[in-house]
Amino acid sequence: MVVVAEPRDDDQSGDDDPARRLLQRDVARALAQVPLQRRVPLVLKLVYQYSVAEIAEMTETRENTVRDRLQVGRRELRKAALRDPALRSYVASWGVER
Amino acid sequence: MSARDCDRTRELLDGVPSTSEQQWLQAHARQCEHCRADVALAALLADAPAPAFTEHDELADRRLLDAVLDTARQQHDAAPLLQTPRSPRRAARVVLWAMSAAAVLAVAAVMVTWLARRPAPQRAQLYLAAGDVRAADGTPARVGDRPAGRLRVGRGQAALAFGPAVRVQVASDTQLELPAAPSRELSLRLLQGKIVASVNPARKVAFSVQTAAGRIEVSGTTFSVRAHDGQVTVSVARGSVRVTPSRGDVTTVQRGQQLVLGEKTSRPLLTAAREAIERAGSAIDALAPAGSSAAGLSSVARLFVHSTPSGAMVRLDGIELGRTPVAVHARAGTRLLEVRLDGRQPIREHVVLRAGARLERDFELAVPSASSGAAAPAASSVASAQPPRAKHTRIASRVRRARAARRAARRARARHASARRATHEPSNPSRVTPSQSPAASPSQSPAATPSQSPTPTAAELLGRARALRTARRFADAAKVYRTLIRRFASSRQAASARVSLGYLLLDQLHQPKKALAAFHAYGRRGALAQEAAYGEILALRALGRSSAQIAAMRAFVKRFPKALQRRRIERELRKLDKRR
Repeated sequence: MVVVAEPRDDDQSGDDDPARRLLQRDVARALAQVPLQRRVPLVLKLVYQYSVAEIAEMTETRENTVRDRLQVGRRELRKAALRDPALRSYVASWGVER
Repeated sequence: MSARDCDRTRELLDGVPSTSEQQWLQAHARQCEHCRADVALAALLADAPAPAFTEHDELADRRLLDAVLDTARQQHDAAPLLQTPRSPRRAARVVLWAMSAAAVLAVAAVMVTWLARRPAPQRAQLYLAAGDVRAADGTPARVGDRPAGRLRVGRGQAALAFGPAVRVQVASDTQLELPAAPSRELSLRLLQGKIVASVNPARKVAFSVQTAAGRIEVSGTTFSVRAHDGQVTVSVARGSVRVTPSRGDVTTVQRGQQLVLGEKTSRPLLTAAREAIERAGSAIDALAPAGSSAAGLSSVARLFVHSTPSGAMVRLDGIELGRTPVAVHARAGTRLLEVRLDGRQPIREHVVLRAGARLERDFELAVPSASSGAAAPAASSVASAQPPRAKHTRIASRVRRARAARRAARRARARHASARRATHEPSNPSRVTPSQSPAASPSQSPAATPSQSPTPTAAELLGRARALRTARRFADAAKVYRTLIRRFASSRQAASARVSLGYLLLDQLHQPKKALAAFHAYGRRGALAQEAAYGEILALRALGRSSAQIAAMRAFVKRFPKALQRRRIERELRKLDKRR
């Protein structure tokens, strides 16, 4: 399964760490469980790093709606991600990693 | 750790945290399990692969969103439905439930996808009918009509919208046939004459032109088809088209190529011809922007232009609409309307087109006399016949022009005074540009003060440059930008012109060295500093000055952490670093 979008052919972004790639696939699987309405702002925010104002403009909604969808979407993503053992251990060890 | 800290985390994640805020965020995330998950997942997704998109593309954001939505839909269909069951009985129940849910979902997803992708049956709609345009029964076709069957354009021109994605301009002396009933297939049959089609690639629709010699299929491009005495010529300005001749093999005609149907190889298209097609394509887009629904046209106004005598050429924002009488759907906003007829005084004025409204103009084109200003009485005689809103529009536009002229005069007086003080030389107020419009230049005596000088204002020059750019006359636009920068060096418009000129030189005129100078001239401060800095990077890249480019990219990322281009630049920096 692709991560959040088809990777471009010439894409060399990110690091070539296969473990991280696998984690990204897992998080994409978790993201797929978030309803579409909240997934779109989540992807635009987390992957493309657009601001709330920009997302509001792109999705033709109000900024507060975007914030609300991001908040609920994050909660849903978190719940879905923590059901995955690999992601659970990644999150648990995140502070230690840094 | 408190609820307030978690709220702050959320706010920081929604915004763009500074370095100290990021440190705080990480410290908090180590202590708070929920926030840690949010921060960790965000970090994981931040460098996930993303779809490619074209920089400098106004549609990029829209396409990007479409791509995200498409992928999200695909993933939705492929999303795992089951978690590992805990007991066999429960597992069986869950499997049964999941299978039925999956079946329902799959059917629903297929239906929704099919319905969403399948275009609704529709008919082409006329949004420009200038001159002699007739429907199949010989009656005059009007703007807003949805003609079926044969459409004849005599002396004049017409434009058709096929849904939101396809715009077709029909030249004079052209005959074509449209589907008799509403159809899902976007197509027309060209019998005689010439059309220019513009298909929005972001919409991913297929459009085809059937001719006696074969079929031309496109999905996102700008091209023209000419059918004359049985010979059909396809010229492609942007994108590519697939040609299926009645006899012979399927051929693809690429951008900048021309193919006569029946011949095996295509030949290069003359630059002038390509520019003409592109100009026509951009004219189509400017009139009814792709994306606006042809049926609703909610952001579009209707404009009717008549003149006495008729047959005068009408231009809107420098785009030729045809000869009067002209009826057109045009994008709402303040637009420059020009009416010209040989041997008559031209008329040039700004009109305010309001969304969903109708504006009618009737001009009497006076014979020019020795004393100028004939256009003004003609225009004022029309004003009394205008509806109240149109009259207000005229007054508002005059007030705006008068204010702009006063501002320019003040600046010019100050500039001339300082120049005289500096050089002790008399000023020369009688500068006249060769391209100056007679309507915009009430002639003055040579001894006139700068306030009465016929020199156009900075705002007028900027408007002129933009109109030329819209009409794809890039070299002329660059000249006007340079004039503006030279004459009004310290004005706001000149600052804006420097950046516009830079991008024009870089993208259209392929002069990166001069573009770099223009971006440098803008300086580091001002509202367009980010655009200037980004332009500098692109210019350096075009010049192959990689070390300077890397330095400029690093400076950009540091100066504009919130810029949309930041991620792209950082990615490129990583690539360049790897290469080194």
